Amino acid sequence: MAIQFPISLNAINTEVASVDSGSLVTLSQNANEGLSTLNEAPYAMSEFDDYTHILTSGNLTNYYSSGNQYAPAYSGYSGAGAPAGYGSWTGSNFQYDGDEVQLYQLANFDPAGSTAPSLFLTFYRPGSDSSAFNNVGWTSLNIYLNQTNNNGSPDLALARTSASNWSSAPPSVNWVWGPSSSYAISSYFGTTSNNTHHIEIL
Amino acid sequence: MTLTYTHFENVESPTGLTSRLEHSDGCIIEIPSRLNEDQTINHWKCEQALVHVHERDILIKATIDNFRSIDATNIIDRTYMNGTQIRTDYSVATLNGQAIVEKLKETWPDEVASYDNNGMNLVAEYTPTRPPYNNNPNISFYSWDPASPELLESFGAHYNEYVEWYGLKFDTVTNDVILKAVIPLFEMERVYPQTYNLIMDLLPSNHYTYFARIHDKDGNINDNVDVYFQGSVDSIKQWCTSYGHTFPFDINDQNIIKKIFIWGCVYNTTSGELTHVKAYTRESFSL
Repeated sequence: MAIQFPISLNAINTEVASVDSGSLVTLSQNANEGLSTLNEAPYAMSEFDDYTHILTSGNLTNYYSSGNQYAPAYSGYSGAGAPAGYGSWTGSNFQYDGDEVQLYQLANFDPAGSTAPSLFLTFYRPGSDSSAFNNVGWTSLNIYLNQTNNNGSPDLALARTSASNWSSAPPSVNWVWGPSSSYAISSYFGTTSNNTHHIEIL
Repeated sequence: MTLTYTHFENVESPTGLTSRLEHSDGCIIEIPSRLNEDQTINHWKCEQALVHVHERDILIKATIDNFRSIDATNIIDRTYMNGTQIRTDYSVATLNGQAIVEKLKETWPDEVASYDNNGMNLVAEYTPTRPPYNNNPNISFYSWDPASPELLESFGAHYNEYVEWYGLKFDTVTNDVILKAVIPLFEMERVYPQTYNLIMDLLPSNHYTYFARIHDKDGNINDNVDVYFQGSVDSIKQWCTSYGHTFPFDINDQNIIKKIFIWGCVYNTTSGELTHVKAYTRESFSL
């Protein structure tokens, strides 16, 4: 949620999800800078007016697979799979739990039968570090359907803390929401391929 | 395999408590704790849910992600049972597949509208090694087009729901044909509730489960029921050991393990027992 006046150090610490600090210098240096000069001295709390801590954002173009009796229908983006995964994602790498990670999968899995769909989010840490992840650091996954920017309100905002399960499976860390009929695969992310949606992780 | 469960207070959890599984394979799973009516932790439900998530959302999901990349019109499937490979299925467009399709066209030209109009169709030549099939050389045909009403009627199959594929087995000696009617889990439960419950009680931990019944042209339904499911290699190996079932292949063969995409069991409604455990591998066909 964007920081509003009057700005408190507490509010900045809540928003700058990548660290936990009471130091304006530390918080400023870890803020997502964008076009501002947040990371450089002189540091000022006023620079955080309307600041939102977007860890990563970009456009997801989905791949759709109708699934079958032994595998759920799939719609979304995945970096896994040969030769170059399924769908595409334009966002940059970002910091999570002290590591540089990439958004590796955001996809809907819709099993045949009576089980409702689930949404899967995976971050992937390149390199050989096999240490476990912690479930920390970001607050909301925002999905803007069928648009390429974050104008307006997200069609779906998923809180990290509302995930039905979390798992650390190095080099991946995963969140799952659902099963729920609220995540219809026709919307998230379409029952045809090549639908583009804007995604941001705050 | 070591599983360590812990439960702790967590203000971020919708229930105020989080349950955690640390698996010896390096995975950590966390879920909001399942609570009893008195708000104490239901340890059994928590542990069941954690194991379920580990299997479905990590192990099986990785398998499914992997097999999604294989071109479904250019595959070779291998079936393992009783420690050996018993069958090889080919996409109809492959060289091996085409040769088998020609035999079907020659002897059974009118059994279906087309054997190879759908590239996902699979064919195999094999000699059955288990009931209900006899020991004559057979040709197996799996169609990814829905069975026509006329075909289903000719075998007396009257289910409300089918999965998207069905099978025909052609006896190359007698020329008899039998139907493998493949139905979703909920249809099995609706039509054969008692058998469904007996089978589910016997199975290991399973996901994306479905069934098949064998029909002949006299309208008989065979007492052997096929059940197919996703499961983890470790849990199925452990289950086979615990219940005296023969594991379908050499557990030390990593080349098989990394290609497994589904498991199957045969249940006999007369004996009330699971008689066979099968594993299926899938890979791209190449000469």
